Amino acid sequence: MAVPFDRIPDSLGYLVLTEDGAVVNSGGDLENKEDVANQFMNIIQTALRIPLSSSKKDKFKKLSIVWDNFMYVITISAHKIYICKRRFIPPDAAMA
Amino acid sequence: MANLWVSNNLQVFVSASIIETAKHNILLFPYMPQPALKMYIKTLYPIVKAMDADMFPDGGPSETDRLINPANGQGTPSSFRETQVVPAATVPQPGGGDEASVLTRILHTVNFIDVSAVEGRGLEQHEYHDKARQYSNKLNMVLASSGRGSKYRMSLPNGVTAPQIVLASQPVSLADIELITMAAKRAAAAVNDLKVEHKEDLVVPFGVP
Repeated sequence: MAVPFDRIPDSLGYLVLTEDGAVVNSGGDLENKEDVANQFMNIIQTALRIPLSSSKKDKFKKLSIVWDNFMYVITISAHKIYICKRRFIPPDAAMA
Repeated sequence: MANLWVSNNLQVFVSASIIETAKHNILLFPYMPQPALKMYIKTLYPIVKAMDADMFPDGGPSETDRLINPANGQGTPSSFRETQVVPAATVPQPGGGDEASVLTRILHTVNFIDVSAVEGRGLEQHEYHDKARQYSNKLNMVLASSGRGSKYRMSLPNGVTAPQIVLASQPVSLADIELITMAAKRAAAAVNDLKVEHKEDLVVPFGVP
């Protein structure tokens, strides 16, 4: 079940990792970037330990790392980690 | 002292335990640097001495016998020529019929361990898979039973059903970003502001007469 990364608007690159951080798929700006993938794994594993609610099983749905013009969006599905690098357009500015 | 032969063409490293058990065997040495050779000779010397006693029960030439008679400068009086232990840089040259006969005698009396003939036994595919499965099962059993094991397990949560929808969704609002940045800045400042208030000295001088 391949995630159609080209359908994602403003997508600049993507990475698909397994549970242990091995790169399954990559493309765009993130193509073959194993070192970047390792750094993401660190961030994800720290973020997974943040308790979101009293129930221990509630983990994040979407993790965003935002800079001025671009951002990384991370999500987990079916024992795989999906990382997408997208252009960041502040949604409030779009409305103004 | 019996001869120690150093040959240049074997690539095998001999462990000390083999040397200890191999009292009646001769092992051929690989080319090795001098300090290692000296260490080997030290370990081997008692064994070689025992071999000497086996091979020459009536007491052959010992290490203290002179090689050259100082009075008349003749060659060695013994029946075979003593070959000194050669440093690793040179290969011992065959010195004549005596040495060849000694070599054949050694070859016939002593059992050789040919360490170069050992072949690696490769694992077959199905054996490899079976073993891998067995080990991972055992690991899982131990990990599951121990309470602390969960710290090392990289168990991912179940996550979302449709990742592309989540990834393509609206980015985080500016207000949220502002909130998080301010909170992180203030937390960092607070941690930096941690100070120790000195109340009492820990070390106090006592006036003992």
